[in-house]
Amino acid sequence: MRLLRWLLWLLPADFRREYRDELLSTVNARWRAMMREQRLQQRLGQVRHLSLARRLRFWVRQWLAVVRIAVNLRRGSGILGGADRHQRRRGSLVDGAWKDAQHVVRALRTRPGFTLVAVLTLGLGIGATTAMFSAVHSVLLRPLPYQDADHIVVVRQVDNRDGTLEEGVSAANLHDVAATAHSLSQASVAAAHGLRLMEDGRAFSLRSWLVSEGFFEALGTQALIGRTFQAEELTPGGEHVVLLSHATWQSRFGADTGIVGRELILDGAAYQVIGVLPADFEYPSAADIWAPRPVQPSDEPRRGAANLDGVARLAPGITAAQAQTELNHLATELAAAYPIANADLGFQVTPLRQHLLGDVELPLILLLGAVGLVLLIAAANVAGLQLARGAGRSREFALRGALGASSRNILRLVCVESLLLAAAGGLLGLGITYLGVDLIRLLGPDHVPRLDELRIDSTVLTFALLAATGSALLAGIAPALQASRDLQAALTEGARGSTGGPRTLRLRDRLVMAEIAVALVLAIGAGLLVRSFDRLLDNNLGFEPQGRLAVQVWAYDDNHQPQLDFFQRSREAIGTLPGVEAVGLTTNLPLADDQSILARSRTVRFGLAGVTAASDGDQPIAGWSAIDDGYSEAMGIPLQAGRTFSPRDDPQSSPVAMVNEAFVRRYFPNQDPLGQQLLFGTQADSSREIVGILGDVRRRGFDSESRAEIYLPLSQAPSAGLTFVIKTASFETASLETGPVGPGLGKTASITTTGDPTALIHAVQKTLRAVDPSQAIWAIRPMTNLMWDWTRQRRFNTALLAAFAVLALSLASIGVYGLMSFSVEQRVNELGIRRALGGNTRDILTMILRRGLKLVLTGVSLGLLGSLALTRLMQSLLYGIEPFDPLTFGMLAALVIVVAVLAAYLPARRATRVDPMVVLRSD
Amino acid sequence: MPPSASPHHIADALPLTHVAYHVLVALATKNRHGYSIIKHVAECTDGRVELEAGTLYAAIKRMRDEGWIEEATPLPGTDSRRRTYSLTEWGRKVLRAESRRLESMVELARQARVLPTRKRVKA
Repeated sequence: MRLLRWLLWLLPADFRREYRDELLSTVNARWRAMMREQRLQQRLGQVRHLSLARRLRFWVRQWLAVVRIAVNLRRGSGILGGADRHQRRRGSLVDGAWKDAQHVVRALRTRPGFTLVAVLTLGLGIGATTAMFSAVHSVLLRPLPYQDADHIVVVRQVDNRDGTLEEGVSAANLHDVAATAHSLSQASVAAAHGLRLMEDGRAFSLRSWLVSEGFFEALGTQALIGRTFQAEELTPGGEHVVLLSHATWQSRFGADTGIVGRELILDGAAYQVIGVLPADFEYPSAADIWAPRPVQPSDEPRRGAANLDGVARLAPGITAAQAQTELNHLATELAAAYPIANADLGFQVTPLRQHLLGDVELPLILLLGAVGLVLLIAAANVAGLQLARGAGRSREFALRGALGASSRNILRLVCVESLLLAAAGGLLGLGITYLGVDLIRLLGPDHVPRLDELRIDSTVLTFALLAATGSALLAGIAPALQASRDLQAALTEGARGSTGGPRTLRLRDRLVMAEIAVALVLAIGAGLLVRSFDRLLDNNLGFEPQGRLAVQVWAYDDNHQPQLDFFQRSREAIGTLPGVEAVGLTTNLPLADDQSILARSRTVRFGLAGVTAASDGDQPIAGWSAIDDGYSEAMGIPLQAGRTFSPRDDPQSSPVAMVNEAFVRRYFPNQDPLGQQLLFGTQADSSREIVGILGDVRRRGFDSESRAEIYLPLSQAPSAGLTFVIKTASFETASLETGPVGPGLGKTASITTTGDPTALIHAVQKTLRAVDPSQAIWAIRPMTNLMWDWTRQRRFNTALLAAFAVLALSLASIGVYGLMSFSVEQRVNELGIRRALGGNTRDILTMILRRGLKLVLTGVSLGLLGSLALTRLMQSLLYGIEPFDPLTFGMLAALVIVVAVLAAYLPARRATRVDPMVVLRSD
Repeated sequence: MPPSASPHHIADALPLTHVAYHVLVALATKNRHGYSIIKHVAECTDGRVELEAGTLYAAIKRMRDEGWIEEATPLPGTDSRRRTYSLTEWGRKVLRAESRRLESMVELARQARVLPTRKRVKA
């Protein structure tokens, strides 16, 4: 509908004034009638889905009709028939252009090859650029949906020893900061949490954020309906109120405007709904409900655990840099007060915009720049093609000139031609944009904020129009100037003047050189990303994601006691399913961090025997997770020393723990950790003996580092939120027919294939439901999906840039090919004479190729220089590789040379086949 | 030439485009608004002819300019945004002339035995 409205501007003003509203209302009525009919058919079971093709056809027909009548009304033909004859107007300036357009259309039709290449080239360039621009527009250019978003900052803790940025802040630290800092007017924390909603005897899992005082004030957000939290609700005991997200309100409560005051049973307790948040509110990330999280005395001992999201509003007139200075000072004080938990504590104050968009800004802008370069190449190519034609057409221009056409007429002809080509390219490009936007939405990384809100609106369409006009100008200006110059020359020269002249050739040479240079820059950029990606995948995750299914379940009774029995029985039941080789349980699945707001990495404070902590809130911290005895086998994490947990490690036996290698490096650098005691809490019986060391695991994807971690046996540290890791049976591909495979073979056989974990999803769901229907499954996914999610942004950047580079290289090759064919064609006479005089094939080939090679080498040198200047910009996108990686530079330069020389070789070959007799006779 | 100067010889207006013909036929039975014309044409032709709104209104504009149709008092119960159109005497003459022309052409086909001589109603 929007596009149709736009197209209506094509119509003559008088028609538009009189019929616009009526026309739109009729289209609307027809559209509604069609949808009604389709829905009826669907309900009657005649069709299963609403037909997208039919809907698309409907709109395309409306669009085309408007374009057609725009032309017909102006020409006064094709509407009524015979009566139209009396409508035709006499010649005017517009009419002249119209005649030109008709002439151009006829001329373009006689050269379908040229037209197709030009329109396709421009269409691809315009479409890709516009699609990329729509992503940039949607993500970066639109304002954030928070009041005075410039004054909102995110506060995170930093380990000043190595500058490691923590995940967030601890409640106790931020609370102290909020109480003393003058540069912040509000400061609040948010904690991810899961709540179970009981409704009609069924359990639903809700993603929730628990937020402390000042959270909504810091963000400047007000409830859409009702109100946000009040101070007394943010103190311990007053917290049984919730705010609903807009989506939850709509989907679960049918957008009931009387929702405020309704009581919900969450985790067995009654909560009162006090409001609904605006639709675009998703902070710190999308969730179903927001509930209060009072800062409590129990936060004090967890001072070192920086795993809450800290958000603050700057005091009026204060900049983020000023707040940073004050917080640096406060951090020093906090570090002095709690020397171990806050050892080397620092804070980092980041403006919200940078926090949300900082990671995606550079790649998006780089990609937009890259695709803009592709558009430039496309325009240069079309300009080159037109120059070649223009040269051949100087005879035509001379004739027109002789018949009385002024150079302005001829200029207009050439301009109309460029405009028509660009308009056709622009229309094609718009189609490509629609496809491209869908593609970006599909392939785009999940965590890029607002990418899902991508749409084609008036700004994007304006951009497309500008891109089309710009490329028309770029592609048209050189040929137009050339044409008017040619006219002068052609009128004075003879009819033989069909050579392009050295000036045309020089111009085209430069265009082609620029194309090669730009293509090489893009190719090198893409090459660097590809090699980074390759390096990244070389990193060992520390476990095997292939063939593993991860099933996250929260199971607790109404007193919040974990249902260990449920997990035990489920584990046994899943273990007997066909195709399952091993099952393990863990509280914190690697790679799941951040994927689900429930699975943030947890940390624990502990003591080491012989080291005394200065105060209660001051002990070393390590990540922890509880695992069962099957976990390390199911995950494929190697045991480095000692033993894994066993069923004998139960609540009655002596407490034990395992640690990872990073833990050993940090806390037992020169000792044997096995048999050492870890102290938890203050009671004497809370010490645990280290019985084993597991291999390091990269919890947060390929580019993350392993941190010190403690593993506790699940039986001694029960938890309600657990993830089943289900390893599918592996089999030896080579001996598939020989029958069942023995246990353990998966580890020893050289060629093993793991089963498809998705095939198990249904069976696992059924099994869990059979064990206890009241427990809700939170997430069920193959681990490889989790793994790929972590690389999604990189893959997106790499794939897009690589696609642009391939496009650029193809366009540049077409440019080289076109130029060389043209110059061979122009020199047919000379070549024929050379051949006649005995010039051998090799000499002619060398002569032509030498010119091509000179062009290519100049282009490549320019490209290398350009890359040296530009690849530095993408430093932060690279991994394990320098921006000036000589191998990448060399390889891609060689590739570009080979491709370009090949493109030059084909016409050169043709030159050697010139038959001297034909040439001489024709002269 | 001003648009209101309609041709004095009906023959000058022929042949009609199929869109113009369908619109005139639709208005011959009763006054209609634009959407009703589209629906009527689709029904009469079993959905084979679907007029696009743009095409229709271009034809309506030109027919009004030519004086074949005119705006009529709105039918009761229609949306006020929709205008109702009626056929003028002149428009009826044009339609009749075009129908005769078509008839005579069909007759030629009959004589050439392309069509059976049995009379058929044009769809």
